[in-house]
Amino acid sequence: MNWSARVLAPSDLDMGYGSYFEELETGRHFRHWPGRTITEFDDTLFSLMSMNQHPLHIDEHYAAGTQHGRRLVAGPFVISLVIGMSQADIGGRALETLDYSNVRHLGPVFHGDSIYAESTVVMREELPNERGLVIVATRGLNQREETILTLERKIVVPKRPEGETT
Amino acid sequence: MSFGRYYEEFETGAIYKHWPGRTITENDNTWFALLTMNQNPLFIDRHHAGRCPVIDTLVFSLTVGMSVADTSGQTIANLGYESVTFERPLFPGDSLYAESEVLEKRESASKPDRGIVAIETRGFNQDRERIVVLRRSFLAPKRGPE
Repeated sequence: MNWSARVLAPSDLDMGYGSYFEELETGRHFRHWPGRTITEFDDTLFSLMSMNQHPLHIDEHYAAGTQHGRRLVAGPFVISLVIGMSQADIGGRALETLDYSNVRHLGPVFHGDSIYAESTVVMREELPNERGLVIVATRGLNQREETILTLERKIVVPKRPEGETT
Repeated sequence: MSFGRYYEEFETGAIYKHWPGRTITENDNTWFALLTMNQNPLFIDRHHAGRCPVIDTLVFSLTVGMSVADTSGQTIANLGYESVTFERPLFPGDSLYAESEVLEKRESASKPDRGIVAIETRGFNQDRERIVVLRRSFLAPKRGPE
């Protein structure tokens, strides 16, 4: 059997990562799973790779003299991770992200914290060419269920292709 | 050359051109997507996507990162982003550059040793086409009496 022909057959493409427009009904709520623990390595790597050399993220000795007495996880990492975690339920089929808005860092995140996320569909609207616009509100929380981040984002998702089930 | 600015050093209307920029590679894009648990095949599967654009969260994070040395490098806290708008796609092999404009600065009502600074940061590709524009506010400490 030709393995690649088999895995690329249309019926095998629908593995359920992300949602089609039809599934993202206004008001629908998702608790995303799994979450993940942010390590010191993650944060150092992320900060430097994104050219963010703020010593609060990469210098423990400097951070010891600041408000929290230790390093804080870089905000863009928390935002990127919370968005990433929501993709399995929401944007895993998205064709485009148009914007983020009202992004609020509501609590500090430290190395060793675990981050989880949940989302609600705020509104949706049909677009031409078998696509739709969806606004999603997502909340990031830590292992104590304290909210550490809220944001909204606007994405373009496809409608379910004709003939595709589930 | 200091890293970041004190509150007194921000001037409303000033534009800081950040340097250096950087080229985003396909490797960057794949591992960034996977590190942040974003498995949308648009970013990680060339056969599915045709041409994988750079993932939005990487464009965002890098634009912010490049701005820190000239803006919030002394900050006590980054408060959030009013908006982050993606205007054009960026592709692996493209370079990203950024600049920031100071929109507003005001003294903290409760703490005399700091102020709130609002900036707009814009990311461009090598052809000077605008890719992303974002607005954020952060707390900047005052230099205080020397």
